[in-house]
Amino acid sequence: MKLVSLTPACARTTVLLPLYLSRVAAGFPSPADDYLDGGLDLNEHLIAHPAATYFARAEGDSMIELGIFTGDLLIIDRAVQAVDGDVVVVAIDGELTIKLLDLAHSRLLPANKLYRPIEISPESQVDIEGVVIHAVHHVKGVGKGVTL
Amino acid sequence: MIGLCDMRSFYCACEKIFRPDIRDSGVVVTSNNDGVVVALDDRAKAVGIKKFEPYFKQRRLIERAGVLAFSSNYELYGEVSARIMATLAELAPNGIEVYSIDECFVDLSAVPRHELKAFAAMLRDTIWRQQGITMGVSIAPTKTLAKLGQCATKLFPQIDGVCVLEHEAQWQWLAARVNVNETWGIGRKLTRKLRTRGINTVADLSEMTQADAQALQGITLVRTVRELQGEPCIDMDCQPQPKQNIISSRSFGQKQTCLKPLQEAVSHYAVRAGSKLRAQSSLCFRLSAWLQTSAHDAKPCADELSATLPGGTADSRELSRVAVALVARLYRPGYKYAKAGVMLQDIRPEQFAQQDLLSPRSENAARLMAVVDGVNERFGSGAIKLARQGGEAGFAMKRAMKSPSYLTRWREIPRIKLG
Repeated sequence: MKLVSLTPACARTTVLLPLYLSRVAAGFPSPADDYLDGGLDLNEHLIAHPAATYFARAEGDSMIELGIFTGDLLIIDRAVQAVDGDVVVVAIDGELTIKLLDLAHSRLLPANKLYRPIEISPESQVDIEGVVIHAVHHVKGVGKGVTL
Repeated sequence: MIGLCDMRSFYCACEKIFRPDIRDSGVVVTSNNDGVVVALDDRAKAVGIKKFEPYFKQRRLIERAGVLAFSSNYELYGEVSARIMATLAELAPNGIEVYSIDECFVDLSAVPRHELKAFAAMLRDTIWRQQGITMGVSIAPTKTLAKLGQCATKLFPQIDGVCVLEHEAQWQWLAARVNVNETWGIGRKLTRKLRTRGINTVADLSEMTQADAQALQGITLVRTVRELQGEPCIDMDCQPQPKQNIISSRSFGQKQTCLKPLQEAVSHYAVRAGSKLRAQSSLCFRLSAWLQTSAHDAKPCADELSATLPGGTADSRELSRVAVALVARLYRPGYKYAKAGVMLQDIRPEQFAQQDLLSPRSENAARLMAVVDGVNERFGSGAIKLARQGGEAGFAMKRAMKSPSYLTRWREIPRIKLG
């Protein structure tokens, strides 16, 4: 097995801008060729720990007040330590869900008044299965038929 | 010192990563075409399900015990394995040697002796937290002893999956409690031979004289005995060598009697083998293809043919063309073929391969293949394929109980309910 090829799924879409703007053979080289930075990699911006990051699709409205909507693409990191105020993935009643971690009051909070907080008692074991780092929201076409 | 990391019930554990609802259930995984049980966890073992026994024979037992069955999901297992190996490679100061999909050796020569146990526990915790997979870590002066140490992590839950064999007395104590067939590299046949000589435990084997070992099985057994005595004989191999042969072969979902679907199948295998060949920047100079019926068929048959590829190639089109031609010669009407395969042989690194004067390799072909590989990597394998590969309906595997490819396909990523 070749270790260098073990780039995890989440970092496979590297798109880099070309290194040279102009063809050197014909005519003058572009004056900007010497100033190229090598392009922007969105993975680099969104994913700190590729081998410990997974994607999931959000379904439901319990986190809308924190800007996480149904259909959003969630980028979840299992390598970072969850701290107070993080949005985390937890398993409750055999199902993965997403809550706001309120360590000060030992609670898991929804971000929608229609849902209730969940108390974390010392007996009930809640395993955190990742920290939500980004929610990617699709915007193209959202204004269709909307009056503001 | 050498560490061995071994993922527990790896395939079954992968099925549980995104399914908290089944974490307390027993799980089995079936082979391609759901033929036999290839993996099972401790809970499934406890109710009497057996590995490598046909699935259909055990189906009632599996259902009655509430054990869940999954078709093998190699997309998922391969990705989880790659992530684990990448994580371990980053943590290990001197590199790792990937031994199989769920095992790897770790070079620990740079870790101070008194920190070994804590280091092993750190590896285990990290993989559990980041990947959701339980791992046993055993550490010893040799690979064979590290393998022996894994038995301790399974036998004694109180050691929390970490076993460090530092002193002779420690591994001797363990070796006396483990059957000789558990030794790394000792197969069933050799076990029988050893038993007739009164060698029943690993400790018995470690006391064998060099002359006896040499006489019984040659240098490999001598090495095993010396490794069991604490003398390293099998080196770490942190630089994986390019593969010498690449095999792509599958059993069909249904038996095939016509030539065309057989040609589509081998064409498909040749293309897959070709992309692996290019991934390791090699060329192959020989290709063989084979067809076989089931061994239990009323009219059994298995045939193989090979062809040389002068000048070498890594062009999927050429590989596929040769494979299809070979199958046309292998095919005989009236047989029910159950399996076909393609093997690329005589593989050499591209940079050292001699050009053939009569059939020079085309640079355009290399560029085309690079584009095809790029597109398939980005949009999923099979996004671009040869017309010769046909559809997949006829020879596609039966994987009726497969879980989603959670980590490798956009449409199958986990859905999380926000409620």
